[in-house]
Amino acid sequence: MNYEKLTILPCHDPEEAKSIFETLIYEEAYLLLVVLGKDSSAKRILELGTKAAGNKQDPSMVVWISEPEVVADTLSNLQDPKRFLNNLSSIRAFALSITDEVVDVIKVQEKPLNILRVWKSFMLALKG
Amino acid sequence: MMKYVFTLSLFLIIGLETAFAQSVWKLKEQRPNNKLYELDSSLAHHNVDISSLIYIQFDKNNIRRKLLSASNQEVEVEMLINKIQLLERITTQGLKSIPEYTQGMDAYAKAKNIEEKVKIVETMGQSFATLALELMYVAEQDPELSHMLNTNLEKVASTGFANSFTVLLQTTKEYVSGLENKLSQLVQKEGLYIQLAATLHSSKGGTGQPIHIDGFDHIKPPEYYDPYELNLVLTDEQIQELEALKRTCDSINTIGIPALIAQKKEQLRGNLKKILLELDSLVTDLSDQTKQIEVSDIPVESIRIEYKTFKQNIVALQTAINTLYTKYFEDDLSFAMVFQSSFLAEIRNIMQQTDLIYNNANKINRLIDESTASVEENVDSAMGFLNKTLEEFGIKQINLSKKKMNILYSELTGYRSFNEISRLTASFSDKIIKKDLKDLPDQAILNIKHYAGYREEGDNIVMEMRGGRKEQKPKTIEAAYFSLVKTQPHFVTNVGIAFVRPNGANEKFTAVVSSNTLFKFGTQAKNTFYRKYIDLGVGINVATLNFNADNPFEFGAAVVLSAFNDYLIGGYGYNFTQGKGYLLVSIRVPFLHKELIY
Repeated sequence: MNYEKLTILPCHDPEEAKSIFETLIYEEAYLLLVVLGKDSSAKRILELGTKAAGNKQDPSMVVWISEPEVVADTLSNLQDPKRFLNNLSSIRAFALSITDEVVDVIKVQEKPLNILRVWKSFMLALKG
Repeated sequence: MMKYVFTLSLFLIIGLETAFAQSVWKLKEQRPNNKLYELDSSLAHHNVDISSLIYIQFDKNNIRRKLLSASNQEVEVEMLINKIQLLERITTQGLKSIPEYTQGMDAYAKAKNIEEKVKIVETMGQSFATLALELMYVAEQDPELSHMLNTNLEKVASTGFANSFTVLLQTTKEYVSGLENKLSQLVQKEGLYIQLAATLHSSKGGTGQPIHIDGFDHIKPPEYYDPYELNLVLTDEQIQELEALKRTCDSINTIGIPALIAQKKEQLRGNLKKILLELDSLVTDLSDQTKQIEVSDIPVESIRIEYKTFKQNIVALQTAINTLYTKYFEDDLSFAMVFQSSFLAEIRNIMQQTDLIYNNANKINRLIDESTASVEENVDSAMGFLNKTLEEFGIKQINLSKKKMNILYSELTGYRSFNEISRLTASFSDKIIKKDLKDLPDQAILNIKHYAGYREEGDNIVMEMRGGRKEQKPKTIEAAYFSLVKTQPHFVTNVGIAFVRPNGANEKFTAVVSSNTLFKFGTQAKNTFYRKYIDLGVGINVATLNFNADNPFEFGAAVVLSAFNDYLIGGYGYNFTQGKGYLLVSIRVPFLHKELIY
């Protein structure tokens, strides 16, 4: 796991978690891959995501929200013209562009789940 | 199933965009001064030196693809070719997008606020991301490529987007090379061959002269000719022109220029009329013959459609000829109308209509050829009759008319268009070798200098590559057209009418025949405007004068300057027989001595 590219939201402290998440979205210029949940597929995406996020120079970051309900409000307020986040329970991760728009989702059952798939999410975020 | 249809459409649609965009060769021109120039392979037409060597570097991959495309209609092959072309484009453009992204990220690191950073990412990462995504979409439909990309990305992903994309593109290149091998095997299985031929076409018309290309034909090269050599001896053609000019001079000196121009115009008008009448009679004949066969009599649909268009085009041409004839020839209108642009437009319209009929006729013949079985079964039927009509009568006659119309148009406008050049073809006689694709060398030379024989500025060379399966008729894969220009300094000799005025108070200008030997400066082949229209020259004019009416053999020489492609020549000379100086002005008026002869 590349921890330089990972931000773990402190879900035991909902206020702090929300604050960090909103700072990353609205006050920093990052392409974000937001990973939801704590099952094995979420952990697999975390591993692949922190690797696919590249190096320090790339404007990319992975955010892990092990308990998505703590930031439910923030999630519901995201720009999501294609309504990717309508059914959160079926989603394991999603990508946000530099202008904070949801541009891709990785579903729970999605296969193959490999580094190429996660890299594609970052490229969709980069394209915006 | 949907996935398959999507992939198929993706490759076919994207493939169409690039399928024939890539050239099968790269061309370089070596001029007589040994300088090498790369010719733009995206263009079909090039101006080259009259004594150049054209180096042809073959792109075997593109040749193979085009041959397979031309010879094999199977969707799988088409898809394979399109996929290769698509991936090659992504690789080339992708590699170019990486530096822009890296530069953008340097700026991102230095940016001071969020707005600036957002703007940088939005602009500098666009083409990078678009091309990366294009590659992802192709990989999603291709498990083998996807597996290769994933394996290599695993190894380098943490080194950054730029490096990862570089590795993905290198992997794609390796994958494409594997696809090329598959294609190569297909070529061997299909037994494909190519032919390369070049033909020199004189700007004066006539049949073309095949040019030998080492390794590609058994053509015997003609005698070596150096167009840059200073040759003071007049050619047979120039001597004939001198004799004709002598008669013109006599007319000018006796009846005067206005009367002579009127006479020549009338001659031109007569020739125009003659061609139109000939063409009208040919089309009427065709119309009568095709009236015997109804469209519904044609048993094969593709031929029926073509035949229907053929009949419609015949009617359209007849109407166009009648309109032109009534408007300009039936009434006794001023001949000045002939030089109006509307007149030329109508001539062009007739040329286009003639062309359409010729193409229809050719297509019908080809379609009949391709469906031999049907023709044999219907030998006495409409198809058999149609075949006979078109083969024995139609095409040859229409082609003759087409040529006449082209000469007429060139004479009227003084212009040879690229449209006309692009209609020229290379001749593929049985001396052109059918070369197995595996025996194709990396390079060939079109040696205009040594193998093209006698040629003049303004002549054109067509080089054409054909190919296909051994048992099939070959198809054109690519063609290049070269217009010949003298790019190096040289001398020219020409003949023309000059007006001379001896020194003295009451002397007048009289017309005489003369010959010029002029030095011409070098020019770039690209700049044909200078050569065609400005073309300055300096040299000597030699004239047979007649200052003294009793002595028809007076001889004079003058130092002259020429401009506008020798249409205007002026200078000062000395009559050696009479011991008297004279002024000389020469203005070339094409239709004064050029006649339309059929």
